[in-house]
Amino acid sequence: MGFIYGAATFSRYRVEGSLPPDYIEEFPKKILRYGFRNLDDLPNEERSAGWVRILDMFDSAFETMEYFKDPYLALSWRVDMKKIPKKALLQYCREAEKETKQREGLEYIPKPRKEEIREAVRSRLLKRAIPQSSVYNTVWNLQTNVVLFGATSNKLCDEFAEFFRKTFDLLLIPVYPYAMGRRALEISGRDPDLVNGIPPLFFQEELLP
Amino acid sequence: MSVFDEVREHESLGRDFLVWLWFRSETLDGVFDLGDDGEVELWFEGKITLQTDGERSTQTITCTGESARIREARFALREAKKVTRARLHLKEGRDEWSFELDSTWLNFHSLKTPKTFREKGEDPEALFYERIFLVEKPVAIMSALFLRYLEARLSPTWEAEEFPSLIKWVREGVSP
Repeated sequence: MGFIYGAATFSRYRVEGSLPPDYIEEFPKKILRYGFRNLDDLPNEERSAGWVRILDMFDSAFETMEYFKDPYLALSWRVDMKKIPKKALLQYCREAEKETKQREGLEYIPKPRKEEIREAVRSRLLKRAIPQSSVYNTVWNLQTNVVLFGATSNKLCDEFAEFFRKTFDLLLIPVYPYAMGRRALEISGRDPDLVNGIPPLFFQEELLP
Repeated sequence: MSVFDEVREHESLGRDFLVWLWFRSETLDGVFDLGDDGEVELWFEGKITLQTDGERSTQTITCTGESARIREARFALREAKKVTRARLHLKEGRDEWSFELDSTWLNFHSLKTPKTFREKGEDPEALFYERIFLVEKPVAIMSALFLRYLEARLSPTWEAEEFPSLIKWVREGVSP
């Protein structure tokens, strides 16, 4: 579901500043550098996020520059996450601690050692866990400098904006009513502060004229 | 000031925009004049979320379905409830879209575009361009409508003409 298929849910951003003049040469390097990496290649990581082709979430090799779809730059942001259920981690840790005690003839395991055991268990369980994948379409209109991002949750959007900044060295400014108002007034040569003078509407009888 | 603080401080702008859209869509038979960009039709499809800001919590009411419930939603405006989200239907020429718009960011939710000429798997590049055009179009139209709202609020005729009509609509709805 997203911009290409199905119903689309999305937020909007304006890219601050202008495109670097050498973007056609530079962006492919940046996209490849921040391309998605499988969690299988990152044994101790629970989460991996990166760019994939908009039309194929399994392709982050980018052998061609087909993401340049004039005037757009179209990619998907893929986020994979492995989750270890808390109780399962607890159970495996208890078992590992018990084994350690027996093997080493210990009565008590000190806290730093417990941490080591927990980390080893977590790492072992992570290798067995199957990641959950989410893919968010991202379409940047290079002419208008507006980015459409296929999600609306504040936390995810913040993370995406940060990832975009890391990749392209460009800041994303969210689009929202107040900013839209200020910008429109500015473009039409009026004082953007006029928008501050618009009072909220109230319809309670006691407040009406 | 952070973006989130700014959004919170000026959240009435988006909420009141949705009320104005609702009012104008009912009183103008859903027709909006966008000047050089022609006319569009827009109407509320029956799902409106209203919220009251209390000191401790927020109360949300969602009105869906038939017109009696929508009337109820309009009455709720008189009880200090604010529109925070609505399902809209937009029509420009032969193209029609349906989507939910939230008041905080004016984000689009579950946007259904007109049918594309191409099916899934058939000429993906062409499908991409067709779909993006159909996604960008309602975004541009809603931005234009927001600017219309802004102009209306800043207009010297707001207090004398438009606001009294809006109050009348909140109280009485549309005359048959």
